[in-house]
Amino acid sequence: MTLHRIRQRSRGATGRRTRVVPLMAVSMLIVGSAVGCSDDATPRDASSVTLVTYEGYALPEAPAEQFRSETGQRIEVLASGDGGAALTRVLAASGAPEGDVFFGVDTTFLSRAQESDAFVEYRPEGLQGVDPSVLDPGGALTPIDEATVCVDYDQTWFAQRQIPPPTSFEDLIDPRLADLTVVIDPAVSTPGLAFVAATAATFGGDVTDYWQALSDNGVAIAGGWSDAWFTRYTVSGGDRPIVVSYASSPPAEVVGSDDPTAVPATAVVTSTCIRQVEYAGVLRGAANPSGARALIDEMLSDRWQAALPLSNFVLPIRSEIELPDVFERFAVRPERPIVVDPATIGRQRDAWISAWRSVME
Amino acid sequence: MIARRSAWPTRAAWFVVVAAFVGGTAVPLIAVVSQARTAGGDALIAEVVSWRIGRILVTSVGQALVATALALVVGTIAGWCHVRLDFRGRSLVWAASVIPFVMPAIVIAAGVRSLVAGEVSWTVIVLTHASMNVVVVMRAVAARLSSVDPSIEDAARTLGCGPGSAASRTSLAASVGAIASSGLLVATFCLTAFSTMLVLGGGRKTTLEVEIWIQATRLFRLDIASALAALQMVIVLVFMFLAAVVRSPDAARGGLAPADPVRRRPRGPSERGLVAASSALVLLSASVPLAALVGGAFRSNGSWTLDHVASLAHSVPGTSGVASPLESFALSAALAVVAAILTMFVAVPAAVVVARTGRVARLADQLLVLPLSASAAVIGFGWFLAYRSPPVDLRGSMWAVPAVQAAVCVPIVLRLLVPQLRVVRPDLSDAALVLGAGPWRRIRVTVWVPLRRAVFTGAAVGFVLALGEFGASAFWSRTGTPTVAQMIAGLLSRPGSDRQGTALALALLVGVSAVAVFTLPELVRVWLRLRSSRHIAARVPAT
Repeated sequence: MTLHRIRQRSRGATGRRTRVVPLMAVSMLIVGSAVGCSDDATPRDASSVTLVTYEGYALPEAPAEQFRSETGQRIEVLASGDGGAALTRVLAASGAPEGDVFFGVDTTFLSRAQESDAFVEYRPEGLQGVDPSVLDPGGALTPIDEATVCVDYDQTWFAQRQIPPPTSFEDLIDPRLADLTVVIDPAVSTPGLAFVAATAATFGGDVTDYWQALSDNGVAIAGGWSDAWFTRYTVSGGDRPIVVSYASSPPAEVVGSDDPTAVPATAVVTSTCIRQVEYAGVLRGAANPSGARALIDEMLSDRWQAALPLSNFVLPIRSEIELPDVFERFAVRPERPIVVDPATIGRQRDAWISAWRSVME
Repeated sequence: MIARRSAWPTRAAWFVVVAAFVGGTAVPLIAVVSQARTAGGDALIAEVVSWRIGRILVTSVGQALVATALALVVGTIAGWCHVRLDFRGRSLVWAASVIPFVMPAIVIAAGVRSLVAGEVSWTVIVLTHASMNVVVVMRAVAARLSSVDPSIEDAARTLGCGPGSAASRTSLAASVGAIASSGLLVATFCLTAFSTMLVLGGGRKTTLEVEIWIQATRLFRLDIASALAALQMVIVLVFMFLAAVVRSPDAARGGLAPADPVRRRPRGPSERGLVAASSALVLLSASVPLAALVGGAFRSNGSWTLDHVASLAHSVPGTSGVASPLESFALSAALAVVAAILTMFVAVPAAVVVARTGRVARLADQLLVLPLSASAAVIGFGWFLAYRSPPVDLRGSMWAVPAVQAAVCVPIVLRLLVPQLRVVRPDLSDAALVLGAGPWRRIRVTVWVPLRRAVFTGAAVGFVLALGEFGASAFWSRTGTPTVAQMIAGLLSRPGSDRQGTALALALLVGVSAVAVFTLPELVRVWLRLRSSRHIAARVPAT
């Protein structure tokens, strides 16, 4: 009855009931707020720079702390997925990015990043000592470090069983080494794609036959580098003694072990090594572009470059930076690594991935 | 007609329906088709020439057909047994049959994944799909058979048919339409299954639905993805069209059933065997995945532990800046509430529009079913193509996920609401007008009162669907704030028993929430009935 009284009182002077706000206005409101609204979980204010990257990235602690005390900006890391997956997310969010800087574009995906409009041009000062062939002509991406992707093997496993270890790509399809190799899915993983590019550079047009032979020889495919290394590789307790990894994996193993006199169990097949350079770029539409540029400058600074080997087990891109002792002793520097031009990779990448998936499924 | 009724509530309902259809379905699907035409054609031809897409097409349709065949056999038998026979546990089997269907697919997929070590075979995938959809066939057959006179079977036995052919040549022959249309519906669901294929396929096995997602979000080949999405739309539309066509008038056959059919006990070993087998299969499909979840979530290395449950509160190791599983669950639940509200906001006016008779209403009915036809991945991808640049750029917005989930949920909730409105007498509104009711009062009488219970059920269904939704929201993932389905799938895709355990604990949490939400309308109903009976008791004076 009360409702009826309220409605009676709402009658205007003409006796007609005052209209309630029409549904149309309400729906306009909702649509309008959907368009204008832009919430995000990461804090985007001038006191922090958000670095978007792939899972497992280790921020060099000391240089980051010094960066904060000098510029007053905290580095927030947003890391999930493998390199390729993280990059595609950045491309999909082009113009409305989740952070300010993206780190993790490497040689194999460089052309994909260059062709997109997800990055803005920035040419920092500190690029002395950098091999000019790795520089991005468009200026959108800055090289930060260098990692060489190779086929690694567990030398103690082979020594215990008195089996000769692999010395080339051809050895991986040898039946005596059947079911011993784990590679990485190239569709989303940067070292996985680097391995594919290296085989393509070695075998040329017959590379699909090589992949078919790999598949017939019982190769396993991991979803990412950390799965391959920490789950499938024999040094970590898995069942495969041959793994696609980095030339810096031996010193990484020594650093990771508790024994100071340890000798790494991992050895590198140098004829399978392909050089990879990792790039960083300022994201278009970033909330803090000046902080982003400052972070890239910082990544090229002496202290950051010197901290890279022991934090992420990669080599600094500036060749004059001194390496730590464990790297001098155990890191493998192949004399002539396979080098594939990023433009070639860009043209062939989709065909390679498609052919790989056809063969491996 | 006595007076000109105020038309604006009806106009408002039409506006909402048209706006929702255009924005939620038409624009995204047009975006997919136009992208496919401009960029996809050549790419698709190139891919087809490399015969990979042809193989994916064959596996997608093939697994759907095999799963449908299984579901048809088990569902028809179980439905017949439920209607004709009386056996112990009949109500339990009936109630349990719906569990694998209403439980979010990601929960079922996680449970099945935990049971199989290593790669999951196609057999397991097909069995999972069949068990999730057997209830569709079972209920369709049971509904049809309950309107068929059971004595024709007895007549057939008298005339010399054996026990099996008596049923199949009479009652089931009269239900062919129901069986066929439910079978096509099941085929559509199996074809467009996303969560199960992503989790169980493990990246090596794909169907068309998952391939659209991989091409769009992993390989960033929007041209191939749009071509595949267009292909998927065509196949699904063909299935849905066939389903509408075969729903032919069954009513002519079979005779009229008595109002209260008497069920008989199973006669003979073959009937008892059928009852036992079909009931066991239904109960197993309801209980096995959930039992596996409970087992996996609370066990580690063979011993019972709460570690996995505790790990829900911590960020996944290796990631940074990403929400913990518990946070992603809370976020998904909040977004699911928003999605449920948006769904009801569209579905209630849509039900009002569709429940009317007339050509326009029938057209609206067909069009609003379209998102269901187009599959969640196609809808999510369509939204991604349509709404990622000005004037409407939803990429940074938290509204994207609930909105696209609502687009997927509306047709399903609509199917719940429309039957309730169809029983309302059309002249009820005129009668209310004569008695002096204003437009809001008339709406309350003709829309709200019949829909009251269905709205609660519909909101619950919308919430559970949105909570576990994966296919559409997978195109809108944000690094820092994954939905709960993305988090479960992400954890399951990385080997390592800790991550598996966390994924199973999270899936169990989602499953328990789904059960809780579904029982809520029942509790509300019971409470309302208690309250009204108390009012009646209060008004009747004690004598």
